[in-house]
Amino acid sequence: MKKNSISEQVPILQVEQLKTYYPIRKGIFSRTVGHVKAVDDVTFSIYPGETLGLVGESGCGKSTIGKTIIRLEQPTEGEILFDGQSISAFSLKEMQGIRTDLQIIFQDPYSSLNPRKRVEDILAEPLQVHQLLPKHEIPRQVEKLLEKVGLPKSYKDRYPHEFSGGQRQRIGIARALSLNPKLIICDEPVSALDVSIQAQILNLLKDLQHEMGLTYLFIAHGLGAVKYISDRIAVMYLGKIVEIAKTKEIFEHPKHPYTQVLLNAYPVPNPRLRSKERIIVQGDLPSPVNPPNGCRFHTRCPYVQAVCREKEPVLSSDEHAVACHFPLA
Amino acid sequence: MFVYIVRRILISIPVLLGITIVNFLIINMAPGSPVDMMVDPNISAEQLELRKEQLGLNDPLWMQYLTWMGNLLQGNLGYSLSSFEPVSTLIGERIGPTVALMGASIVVGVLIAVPFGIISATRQYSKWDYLMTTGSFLGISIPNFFLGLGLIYIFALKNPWLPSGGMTTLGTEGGIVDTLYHMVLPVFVLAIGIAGKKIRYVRASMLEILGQDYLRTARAKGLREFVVTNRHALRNALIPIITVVGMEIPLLLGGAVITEQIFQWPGIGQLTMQSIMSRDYPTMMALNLLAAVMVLFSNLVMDILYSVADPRIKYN
Amino acid sequence: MLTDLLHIEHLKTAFKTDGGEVVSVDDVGFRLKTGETIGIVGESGCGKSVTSLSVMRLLGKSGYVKEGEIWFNGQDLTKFTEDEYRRIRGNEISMIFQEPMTSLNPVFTIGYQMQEGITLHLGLKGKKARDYAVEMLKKVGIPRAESIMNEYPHALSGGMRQRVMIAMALSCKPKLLIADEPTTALDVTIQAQILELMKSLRDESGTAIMLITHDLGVIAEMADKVIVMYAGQVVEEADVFTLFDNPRHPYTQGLMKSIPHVDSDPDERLTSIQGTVPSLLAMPKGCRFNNRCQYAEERCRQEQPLLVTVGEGHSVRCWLAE
Repeated sequence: MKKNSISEQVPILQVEQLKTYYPIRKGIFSRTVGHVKAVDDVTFSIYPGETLGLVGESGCGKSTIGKTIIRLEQPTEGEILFDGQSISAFSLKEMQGIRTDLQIIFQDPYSSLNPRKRVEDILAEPLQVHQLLPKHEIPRQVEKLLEKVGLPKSYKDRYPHEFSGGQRQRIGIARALSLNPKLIICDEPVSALDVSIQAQILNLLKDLQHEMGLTYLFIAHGLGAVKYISDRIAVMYLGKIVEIAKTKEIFEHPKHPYTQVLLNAYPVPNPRLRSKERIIVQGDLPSPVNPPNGCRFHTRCPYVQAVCREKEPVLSSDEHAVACHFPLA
Repeated sequence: MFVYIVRRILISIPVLLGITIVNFLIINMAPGSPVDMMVDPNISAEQLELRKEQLGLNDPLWMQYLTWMGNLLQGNLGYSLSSFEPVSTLIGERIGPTVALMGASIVVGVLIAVPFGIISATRQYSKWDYLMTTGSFLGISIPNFFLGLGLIYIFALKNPWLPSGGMTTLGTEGGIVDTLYHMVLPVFVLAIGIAGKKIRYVRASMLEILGQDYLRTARAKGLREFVVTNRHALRNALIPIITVVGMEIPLLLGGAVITEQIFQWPGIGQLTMQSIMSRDYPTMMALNLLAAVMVLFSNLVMDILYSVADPRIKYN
Repeated sequence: MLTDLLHIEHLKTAFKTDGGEVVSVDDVGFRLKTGETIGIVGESGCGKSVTSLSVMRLLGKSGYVKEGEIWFNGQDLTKFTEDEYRRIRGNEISMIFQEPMTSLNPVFTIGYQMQEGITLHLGLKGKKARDYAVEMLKKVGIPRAESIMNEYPHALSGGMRQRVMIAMALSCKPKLLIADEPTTALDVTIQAQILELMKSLRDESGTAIMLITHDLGVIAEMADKVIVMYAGQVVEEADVFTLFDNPRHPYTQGLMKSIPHVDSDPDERLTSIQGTVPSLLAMPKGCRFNNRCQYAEERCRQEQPLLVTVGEGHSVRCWLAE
């Protein structure tokens, strides 16, 4: 399923100069006095059958991108092309039409399933709404879905509270799969799970991808999981993509200082490496309401120069793209 | 903060205007007129008509309203149609006793509710908790008039320990001690109702706070459980209580009508009853305006107190 | 040789519930010396937090230490009265928690919350207590410490709040610091800052640390020795190098292989542990891990294994390790 050269293919999803701002309102007349620039001019593409990992710390806008693509948030500017057609100006009704191809899996398997519905009803609902199957075939399809995500068929009569976190996430995946989507947005699908369960879900997602030719946008803050599942990785900082490249490249030759810092910040599960020289950035993340001028990372960058404070670097357009005035060798 | 208060007051002007218009219409729609209520039934229709004309009651409604509003803007609330005293004087005489009664009842009610609510919450599902919740249930469900009459029967008629009504002992000068003495029963009646409702709020609010992480932090510091509960938890638990206590203030104006009636308390409540009975339009209008102002004012005070109690809330 | 600062033996902690008594920590024991850091690792519900709260006796109304001894500085804490306990809490033993966003009281200033413990345990009052608190805040790297004293918690970021928590915990120079998932809720770059801070403060003060975490990376970074907990029991105990070089319990092995980390090969399939953690109300017979263990034999399903020594300072609760 994986292709080596991405440049010859037609992307399944293209995000062009996307901006998603949340207005801050104040005063009696609720005047807009500023914006939280959650996503600020982001461009990337995803090709069929690949997994693009989207990583960054809290508040970098990675989840907002996912939500904007499926229109749980309204884009402020920019364009989203799905399967060649522009969907950023779609009405909600038109969005319904492409929901069969575009699905999402949420972080919290506890709150994203309706507690009053049986598993069978949860999984059958999208099939009924979109009328993809004759009615009498739906129960069989539900059983197939459960099997696909590694749950016994007999679980279809149970309610969500009867399951563990990992099992619920499997149900969430089954629901996303029910319409045979092309692209699944995985919004931190393993962050709420215990470590031994995370591996089960990551393996499942990988197997399903091979089996069904799925494309993933995998949003996470844990670099380990992202590395395991992604073909390419985009690193975000304060609403911008600072680096985007093949997984191996990102991990072995990070070009953006922030990527390097992020990789370095992870404690390595090997006590013999604990004394290694670490680059620890000082200070907190700046506010996305008033991001720093110039390069947004300049306030914390260990290699900051005068120009970084003045001029904002643009994301280069090569296969290993980086937005830095002084990319690391 | 100052700007916020000014803005709030400015917003309340059109609200008050609207309230007076609606009140005016409702009062005038009610059957009967002041003249019907105050005169001898044997008087002739012509004389009645003349009296109405003199009082301006035959003018179109909008003109009557504008006259009233015009007077109000000059600080004149008009004259009572039954006692012919200025309405402002009437209200002025009555407001003191009512404020005293209201204030004392709220204070006593809260003073009962807070400790009882805390005990109830910190000993959830214990004997004490059941006792408190049952007590609170009784406090809510016993009607004021019933409790009032019952207490008068027990403490004034059967055992002449307390006065059955009024604000001063007849034939005496009165004085603070005498007034306090007269306040015991009505305040108790009103406070029981308030406490009944507030115990539940305090309990619920405390229960929510008692599960918070920062109380574990406070305990981990080595603080006494008493300090943890009554300083760290209570401060947080009281924030939502501010709202429900504030909501009580305008309600008390209404609730006090019955209680004041039973205890012959010379307050706003009694005046309200009298003015309705005699279709005393100017007095009714003024009392309604007072109630509306009270609601808006207590809302504003609550919001200000909120920001004082909770540093996370800032107005600007 | 140093004597043990903390020595827990056969600790059994239970909670009263509507469905009867639930034992959430069963026969846990370990020793900790001054200046040493012990890591307690395990998944949610394994009893690692309850173990630490047992040491603090902060188990709430329904929890209690049912059996066992907690020797701290030569005294058995389980024999302490509530009054005696209060004197060591926040003083000789202090604690920081997982959620810095909710661990500070929102309606009191940082200064007030800092000074509370300082006044209580060190007897400093007024300006002296304030100066001391400012000093502590500076020590944990808080900029503008003076003005932060007058701020309320909501004005600070998660990392800053955790620094305040650390300053508060260390202000009475505790002999033992219990850190319950201190960096789990923080971003990685902030986690790195906080771990670095904890290390340097530890080296400076010689405070012993009980570090509770689910992150083996944090363990490798910080701990001298480690206990691995599963379903309320210690399944393996070893010094940190032995544990990572030669994990003997199938659960420890599974945990290490199942975590994708930055240095691992992405093409390699993750080894996952099948199934889920058993409920405290329905523990399997025999070894508690038997229903998820790929090596389980008949014996594992019948008899519960004991924690046995397999090497110096290395013990394992597994029939197959013998």
